[in-house]
Amino acid sequence: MNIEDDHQIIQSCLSGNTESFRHLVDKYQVRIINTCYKYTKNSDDAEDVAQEVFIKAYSNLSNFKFDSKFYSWLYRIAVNTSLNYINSKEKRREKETISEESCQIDDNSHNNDPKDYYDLVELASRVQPLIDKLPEDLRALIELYEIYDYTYEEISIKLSMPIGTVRSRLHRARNMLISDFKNINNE
Amino acid sequence: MNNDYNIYGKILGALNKDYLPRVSKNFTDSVMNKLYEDNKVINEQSSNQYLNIAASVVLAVITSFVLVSYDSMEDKFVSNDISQPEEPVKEVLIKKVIDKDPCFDQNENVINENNECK
Repeated sequence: MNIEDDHQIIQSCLSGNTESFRHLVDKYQVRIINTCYKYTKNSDDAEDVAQEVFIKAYSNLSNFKFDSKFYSWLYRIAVNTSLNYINSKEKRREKETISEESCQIDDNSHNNDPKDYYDLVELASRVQPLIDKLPEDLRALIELYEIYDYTYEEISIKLSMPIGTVRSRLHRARNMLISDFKNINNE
Repeated sequence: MNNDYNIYGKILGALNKDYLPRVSKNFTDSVMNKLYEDNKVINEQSSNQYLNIAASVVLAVITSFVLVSYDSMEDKFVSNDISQPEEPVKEVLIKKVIDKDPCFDQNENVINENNECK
């Protein structure tokens, strides 16, 4: 079990290992699809736009500045792509004709085979207890890095801790979360 | 296949309360397939470009060869023309002038002494 740092994965992609990009898609798909959904208001469209977001990100990976977090960069691409999507003429026309009927169609799309979807509401309800179970120092690190979007450097300054220690503790916290998640979900 | 990234993605979504109730399980595969398709198209385009460049080079070589061959053939024609013996220009002209002179009887090789020639 080994979760690599985003920057390591990006370096691997840039050196020609396209398959590494799968890890970034796996890691950020849930949040990016939700970001797109905030603009498209349709789950199928949100997945289509999110797919475009990841492809754009891959194409422009060489432009990524390593001094920022990958998710922040990806989030900006998601917002711009979603805005382009809703501003496109065709979609504007479609928006004008959105009716209760079309909303019902979207609802009906949820009647597809449940095996094809992750039920995230149920999964999310199991995550908070895992966070609460973490040792306090690791929980603080996870919250600072993953929720409040601090960089390693910022956390290092804030907690007066060497960057190497921040990295290794975050690594340990992630692995604990994944391991516990697997245990409760029998994955 | 490493499933840890997918699990951590769900944890991140839940932590940030940033998720839809349902997400397709095959989302990653469809992104990666699209990515490989696009890469394939790019590779095909670049191989087509190489073919175009190769064809241009071959065409240029053939054109150069034809031009060089034509030049050498032209040289041969010129040398043939030059090698043919030619009558000296001055003598021919003088002869023609004498031939057409009405005051000179070429058969008798004497000058006519009629009124017009006086």
